[in-house]
Amino acid sequence: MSLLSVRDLVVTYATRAGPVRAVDGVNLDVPAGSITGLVGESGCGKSTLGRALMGVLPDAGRIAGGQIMFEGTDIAALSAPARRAIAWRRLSFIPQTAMNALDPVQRLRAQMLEVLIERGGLGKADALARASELFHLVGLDPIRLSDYPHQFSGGMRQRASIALALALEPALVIADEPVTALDVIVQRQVLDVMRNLQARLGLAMILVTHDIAVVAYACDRVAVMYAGRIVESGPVADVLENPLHPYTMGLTHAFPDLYGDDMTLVPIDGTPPSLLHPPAGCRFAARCPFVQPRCAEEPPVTDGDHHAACWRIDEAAELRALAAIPATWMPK
Amino acid sequence: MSSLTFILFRLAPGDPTINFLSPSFNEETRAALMKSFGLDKPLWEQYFIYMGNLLQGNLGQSFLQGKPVAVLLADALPNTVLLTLVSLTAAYAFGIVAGAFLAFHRGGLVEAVSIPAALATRAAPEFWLGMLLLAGLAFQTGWFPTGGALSPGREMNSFAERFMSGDFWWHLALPALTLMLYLQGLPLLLMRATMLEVLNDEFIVMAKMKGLSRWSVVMRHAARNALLPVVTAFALGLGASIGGNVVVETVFAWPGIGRVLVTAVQSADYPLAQGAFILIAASLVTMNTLADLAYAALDPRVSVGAKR
Ligand SMILES: Nc1ncnc2c1ncn2[C@@H]1O[C@H](COP(=O)(O)OP(=O)(O)OP(=O)(O)O)[C@@H](O)[C@H]1O
Ligand code: SF4
Ligand SMILES: [Mg+2]
Repeated sequence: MSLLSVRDLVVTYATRAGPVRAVDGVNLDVPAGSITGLVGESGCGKSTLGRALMGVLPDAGRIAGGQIMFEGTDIAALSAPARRAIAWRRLSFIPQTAMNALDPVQRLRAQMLEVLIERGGLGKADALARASELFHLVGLDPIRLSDYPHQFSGGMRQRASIALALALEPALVIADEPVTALDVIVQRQVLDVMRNLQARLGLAMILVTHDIAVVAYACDRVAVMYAGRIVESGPVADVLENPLHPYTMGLTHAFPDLYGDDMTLVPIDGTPPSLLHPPAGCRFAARCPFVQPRCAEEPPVTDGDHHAACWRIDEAAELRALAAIPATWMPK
Repeated sequence: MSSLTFILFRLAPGDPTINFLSPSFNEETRAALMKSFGLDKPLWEQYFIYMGNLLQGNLGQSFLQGKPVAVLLADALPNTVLLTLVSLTAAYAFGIVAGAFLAFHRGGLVEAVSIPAALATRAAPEFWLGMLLLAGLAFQTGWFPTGGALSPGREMNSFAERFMSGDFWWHLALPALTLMLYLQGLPLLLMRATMLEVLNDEFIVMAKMKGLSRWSVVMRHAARNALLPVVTAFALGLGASIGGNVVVETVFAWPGIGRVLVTAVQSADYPLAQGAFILIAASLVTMNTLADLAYAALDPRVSVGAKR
């Protein structure tokens, strides 16, 4: 059984124009002890899903349906105090820009101790020792615990955020674009730190990104999100090398691959549909080069460890061949 | 600044000797008096004498009361400082708590009632507020004195003795309340606005994700960050109030710097008025500097000397 099983999760934002279905029927399984990448274009609902899992949605947002089974309990149905009791101890979070995610007027030590003492129940002396140890683990000099966040570089702040997230040894860490704001070299360093610690501590991680290269470099599994849904998921090697869903085929062409080959980049033409009034049937239909009349109806989801939601899964091999030709993705 | 006050007061109409001398004095005594105050000299000479004295820390003699200006100001200053400190502290304590509370109960009935109320007390003229309180709590009921800093007939020699006396505090209550009501709007609205801003910050979302108690989220993270601009406003308000209490001090006949200034101007007592002005300007500058230092001390992102 998976550590985390999300079933038919719906998250809506109340807006003046009506409810925006930012997460609209997501199914996702995260096995213990592995890194699952969550990729998709901007606005497809990745952060919303991450925050829903953390139980902290913006005021306008609410879980409108579905289940979040985590360690055998539906945490979406828990009362606020019960949900707070597992927060950070069992699942924690690494934010994108640690600049604002750390309290600007408090030293890192105070922010580490707060978590270790208030949430971890440690005594002051133990907490101090643990804070130094955690800084050491993420490659920061424990002396820097006396610094304020603004005295850190972007990469160091991200390391500090990792130290905070790992402080109570949670079972699952959700990292929302943890390296997006960093330059490529620092990206690698931070990803290495995360991967090493994840393997060492045996925890599970959801790594949200819009960068396929990051997925290929750091993840064991990947889930591809499009317009509020997961359209394809499975082991990284399978999904990236033999994508089943045309959107994933397009995505892998729209990004430079990880070995830096000079592959022609072909962005997918068009924009995702409105989440205010999502279209019936396949949500990718308006942009899919392989669209057929039956795509106006809800596509079936295949079974298995590597699965996708598309009417033309059986023809995936031929479609991949077509998708490799740039002309396929040119606007008509 | 001191040059400006010098020129301003000399340009003002009025002859200091008119208040000072009885009409029965003859030309000769008048001239002798003018000479003793140096008023017979040409204006430019008066200016240089004044600036010279000022540089030596000498503010001159009051025309009207015949005492050194420094002594008169030193008598009035503690009254003003105390009135300011008490009312400003009360106003900020109230404003901060109420502002933070309102930030949390956004869009409710409480907000619909209290924001206009806070705005109204802030917009109402001070003298009108003061007179309402005087009419209600002093004249009608007799609970509080109608003016002054001490009951008639009471003499206190040392400051310590005065400030320890209940009589002084009893006299302070109404002017301080008036000033507090007048001042409370700024910290309240400022605290509410910065609090609302801070509550949307990423580190507040993170604090909630950590499962920290509401108290930790609000006090340790939100309030501490939201307080920064409010503390600065407090220091600025302290500086501004030293000279800005004129209206309240006049309504309640409170013997502070503001009232010294008003009477000095009315009676064309140049040295005293100038001295009061310089003191007010100096406290403004001092408190502005203190505000910057306080901000730098509280916000680690600002180092002393660096521009915000
Ligand atoms: N507070 C909010 N109120 C209303 N709509 C929102 C709110 N936050 C997000 N949305 C909408 O929900 C959708 C999903 O947003 P979300 O931030 O989850 O996307 P994302 O995949 O994380 O994008 P990005 O890659 O840009 O971070 C978007 O269409 C967005 O406009
Ligand atoms: S269901 Fe149809 S439109 Fe959707 S991805 Fe598959 S082929 Fe394209
Ligand atoms: Mg996002």
